[in-house]
Order: sequence, then structure tokens, then C-alpha cells
Amino acid sequence: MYREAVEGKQKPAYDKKMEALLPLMRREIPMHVHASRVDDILTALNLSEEFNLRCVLVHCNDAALILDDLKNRAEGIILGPMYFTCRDWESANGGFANARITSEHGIPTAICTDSCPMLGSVTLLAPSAALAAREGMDDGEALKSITITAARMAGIENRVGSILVGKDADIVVFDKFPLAFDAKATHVFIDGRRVK
Amino acid sequence: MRIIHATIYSMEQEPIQDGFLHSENGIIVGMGKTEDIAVHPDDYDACGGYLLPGLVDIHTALGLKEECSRFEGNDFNESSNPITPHMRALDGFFAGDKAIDIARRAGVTAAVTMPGNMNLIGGQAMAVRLSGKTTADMCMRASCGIKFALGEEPRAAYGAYGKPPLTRMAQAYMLRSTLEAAKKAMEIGRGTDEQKALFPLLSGKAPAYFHANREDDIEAAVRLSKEFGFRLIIVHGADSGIMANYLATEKVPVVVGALTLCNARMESIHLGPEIPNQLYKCGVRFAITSDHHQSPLYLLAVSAAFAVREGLPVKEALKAITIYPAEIAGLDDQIGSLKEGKYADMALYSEFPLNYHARTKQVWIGGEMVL
Repeated sequence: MYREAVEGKQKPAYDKKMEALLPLMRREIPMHVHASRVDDILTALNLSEEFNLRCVLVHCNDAALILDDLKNRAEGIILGPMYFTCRDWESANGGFANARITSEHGIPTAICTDSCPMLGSVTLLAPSAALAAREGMDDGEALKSITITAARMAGIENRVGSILVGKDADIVVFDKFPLAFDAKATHVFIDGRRVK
Repeated sequence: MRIIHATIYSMEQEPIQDGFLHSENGIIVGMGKTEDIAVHPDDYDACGGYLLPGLVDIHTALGLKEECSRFEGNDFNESSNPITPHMRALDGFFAGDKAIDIARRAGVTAAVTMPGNMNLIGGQAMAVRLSGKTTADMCMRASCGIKFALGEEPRAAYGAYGKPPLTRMAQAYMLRSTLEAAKKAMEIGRGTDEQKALFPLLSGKAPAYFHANREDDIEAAVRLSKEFGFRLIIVHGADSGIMANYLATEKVPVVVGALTLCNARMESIHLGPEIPNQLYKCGVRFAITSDHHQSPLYLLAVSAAFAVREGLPVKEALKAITIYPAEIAGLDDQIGSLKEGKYADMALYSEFPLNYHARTKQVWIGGEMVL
């Protein structure tokens, strides 16, 4: 309603909360919905269709149980964190094997660390992708899940996420294949400037 | 039971290429080159996979802080009293904890599980081998050490509510007076349940697992162990890398980890994968822990690989998750390496176990397949 009013003749009073939702309603950005269980995932998808929103599902621990809905109705899923003990019942079906299953099913699959205190460190991003590869996710898909696929879901793929003429020079050099647990980032560049 | 065509890393001798391992009644009775024996159709063909002793983690909350559970299966902090040496992991252990299966699938076959960090003395640790259905099946040693904690956690659990210990001074005083009373009780041969539970510690039969991260907490633990003559094991040891020379001189072992978490406390700000190599270089005995429940047991081998990234020799990294923890926990007469007379507890990996593509192909506990 607010959107229709803003875009109509009768301007409503400025509403900060409603303004924050306008980019979502205009499909400029997706909603990122924390949803683990099938019921929560379906609620998110139903809402996204009812309001014609772009929908990315986060955590999505029941992903393997609801593959077709995810493939046909979601923009993508962000799996993770997958490197720590399960601390609630809604995450019981989580795990690295899901990344193989969803990516094989053609669902854009990113991997996250959910880094914050008492959870795993963001330094576990590449090892998370490696553990997904161990469970059968293709190595290339695993690398994309922490670069270009993730960038697309954040809507920043025009600048980062792949090495391409015209994109930001944000580059990392590893001393061995980056999914190896003992791989070390030897050089890191942001905007072409070395930061490590 | 015989396994053939395996690359055997026994932790006792140089790797055996194309080796065999023979066990009877759950005990290893022989190892060698496959070419030296007549193979039999019943032999398990490892197809060149890597056979290691089952991994060992000696600082976990397996079965005590259960997978998925919040309060329902959370039985590892009896935080109604800061001094509870009479609490036993055995009595809080749930053999149906899903984490046990997750551990087995990663090749972990034995663990020490113990109470948490909220109490100054949390209770008694139990050594388990991860086969069977019940606590009785899994229990290897019902009481193999006493859990202590120093630093931020007991102060947060009690001090924050105006109860002692509010400070590190009170922590040391409360431990000292408890140990003094237990010592007197032991001399006269009778005491309270709390005191009796400390007799094995004071008579040298069980070690103390001290949660200690900061330099001051590590030193406080060393002071107490010298005063009361008990065997000390430092757990976590965030500052142990900085104090490696001191710990080498004092001959105190460190169980370091988790090496995979974000730092959540001031006291553990230095905890990281470079510590195992710092300890190794200074000759400190060490083992690596996943710190389950904080991180899952399939990250035990990953933690060892992170330590390799920071310079720890590969051989040491493998020992740090097998024979070293078994030695520190006093279980190396039965587990921790592949050797005649020890349990046939083994993990077979498709590739070198620290590689990211290495999958657990099979696990045996007491010569029985458990996957």
C-alpha cells in the first residue's frame, strides 16, 4: 500500500520503516529469510510469491527434503554454518551433504560461516566449502559457492565474486589449491592494493 | 579379522605400504606387508586406503551436551554449586547422543567426556570407546580424571550473581581450601562425598583437567598442582604458546583447542592453530582437541590440518589426534596407536586423512565394523 501511495499522486507522510522495504517491493534486492525447516521454508516462499518478492533462503537445513520447491520458487539458498555442533532441533537435517544435493539439483547454492562469537570463525569459509566437496559437491561448484554464487545472492556480482575485466581487483593468492585445509592465503588484494 | 592392502600409519613405526593388520577378539595380534601373507577371501580389502588408529579426543562433552538439544539434553554443568567433584560424567552420559555417530563417521573411536567449565571443580571425566548401545558398552574408564575450571566462566556463572567466586583470588582460595580439606580427609580415611571424590587425584591415580586459558590461570593451576602433588593437564591453553618454555620446564601437557572457533572471550584471545607448533618446538607435550560440544568431532582432523598450515610437521599433527591424547589421558596401554596387544580400534580413509577429499571408508572398534 505504501509503495502504491508513494508512486501515486497522493504522497503519504514519510515512513522510515516503510521506506526500508521499498527496494524489496521493487525487486531491487531479495529478502534473505532465515528458514531451516520445511514449514518455515514454505512460508517464506509463499510470502515471496504473494508479494512478488525475490527470495533467498538462509541456513535451509531441510533443503534436501524440498528440492523442487527450492529450484522453482527460490532465487537461491545459503547453506551454513556447517562446521559446528547442531544446537537446535530445526537444524537437525543440516550438513555438508546438502550442498552436493542442492547443487546437483541445479539450485544456486552459496555457503556461509554465520560467523559471530561462539560460532565458527569466518576463516572457516574455504574449509566449509572443502567439507562440502568432501561430501561430493563438485570442487568447482564448491569454489563458486564462496565466490560468485554468494556474490549474486548479495546482489554485488557486478563488482566482485569473479575475476573479470571491469570488476574490482579483489584477488586472493593461495600457496596451494584453496580447498586444502593447509592452504595459506599468501597475497590478498582489495581494489588492486595489497592488504596482506 | 584381517585388513589387507592398507597404507598403515600405526603411530609406532614408519608407514607400512600395502600392509595388513590382523586382530583377534578385538585385539591387534599382527601387522606387516600383505605380500608376506596368503590372502583369504574373507580379508577386508582396504584398496590402498589409509589405516590409522581411531582418532582420540580427550576433551569433549560427548553424551553430556547432546547434539540438537538445548536444556533437554544439557547435563554437563551442575551450576548449583561451584565445587562438585562428586558429579560423574558417567551419570550424565547419553549413549544415544547423535554426536557419537557423527564422531564415529569421522574416524573418532575414543574420547574423554567431562563436565563443563562453569564450576571450579566440575566433576569426574569418563573415557569412552564409541561402540555399543549403552553407557556400560561405551565406558572404558568410569573416572579417569577430575575437571577443574579457572578464569572467566566460573566468575560469570557465580560472580555475576554476587556469589563466590567473584574474582580469581576467590577461585584459588576456594580450590586450595577444598583440596586441603580433602587431603586431611584422606589422611584419616573418611570424608564427605566431595572430599572422597578427590582422593584419586591426591593419591596420583587420576589427573586434573584444568580449563585454563590466560597466563595467570595457567600459572595458578601449576601452583596448585605443585602444592598438592597432583598430575596437571592444561585444557584450551590460549596463552600456552606464549608460555611454551615455562610449560616445558614444568613438564605440563596441554590439550589445545578448539582451533576452529571465533574468539568469544577475552581469556581466549590468543587461541589459534599456530599454538600446536609453538608447543612442539619447545618440547611441550600436547594434543589437539575439537572442544566438542563447541565444535563437532569431524573437525578434529581438520584442526590438525590447520596446525600443519601453521608449521606443525604432518607426523606430529597425526600423533596429536591419536597417540598423544591417549598418552596424556593415560589410555595409551589400550588405544592411540596400532600395536600388538592394543584394541583393534581403527579408521580407514580413502586418502591421506588430512586431505579435504579424504572420506572415512570404514571404522572398526574392537575389530568390529561400526559404520
